[in-house]
Amino acid sequence: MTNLEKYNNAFIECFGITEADLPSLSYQQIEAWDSVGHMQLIAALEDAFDIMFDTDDIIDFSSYEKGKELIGKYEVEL
Amino acid sequence: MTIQQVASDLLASNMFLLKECGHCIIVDPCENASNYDPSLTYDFIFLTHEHYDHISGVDKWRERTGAQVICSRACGENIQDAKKNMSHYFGSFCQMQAWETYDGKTETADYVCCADKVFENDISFTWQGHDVRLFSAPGHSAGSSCMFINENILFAGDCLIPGFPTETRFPGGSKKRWQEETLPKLQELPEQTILYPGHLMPCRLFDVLRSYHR
Repeated sequence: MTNLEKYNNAFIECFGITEADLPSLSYQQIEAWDSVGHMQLIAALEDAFDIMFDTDDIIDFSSYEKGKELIGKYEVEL
Repeated sequence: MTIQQVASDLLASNMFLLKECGHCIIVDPCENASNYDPSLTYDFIFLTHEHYDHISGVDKWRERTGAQVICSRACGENIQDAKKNMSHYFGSFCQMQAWETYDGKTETADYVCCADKVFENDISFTWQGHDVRLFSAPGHSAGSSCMFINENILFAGDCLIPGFPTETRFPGGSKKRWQEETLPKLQELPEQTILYPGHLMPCRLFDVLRSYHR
């Protein structure tokens, strides 16, 4: 599985959505991505890539696209 | 027996102090130890589950009282891990809430602690003449459990919060376990049981379970 697939799967598994939903997805745009869902997502990404997000990055992780930018800080190439 | 409720500064989580004949049980200790009474003998500290807002005062109260910390085996494992007990995420989680209850602290807590005694499924004993049963109640978290006293008082942590469906989406939570393992246990409890939840005010268990059809 590529890193991008792992990244996408975290969203799909946590929020019960499809890949087509991903590009425009942002925090609180769907019911599942509330503060609790956000913690689910963060934990899933941390497990998938064996990383630990900084608190500021957890808060700044506001969308699918923003997340791609942030996860790059942890030496993850998507 | 008197039951004192103390709302913590962490998401207003409830700590309870049960007092009987000069003895005390602490449920879900928070860091606020202003209610410590040196004239009491503190027999044990019970943790309803491993989430940080319910364990933040474990070390402070254990040090002050010498009381043993008791919880489920899964809880005992998870409180030793800052990710599994959610303390690592707590600052950011509170920031993302609609309501401000963390006084602007955004740094990670990374708090860990340990239990002195753990149980697997359930244990029963007598405390100051009261019948006490601790039983596992996974779903909100892997380590969730309840304390049931005298067949009519239930400390359930975040298993049941009045007015809110049980949250099972936190890492380690399980909707399946909640529905298949825990909810049936709670539905078998006497209707007159008073629920002391992890947040908000006590209420009748029956009123909270009404939304969960048998």
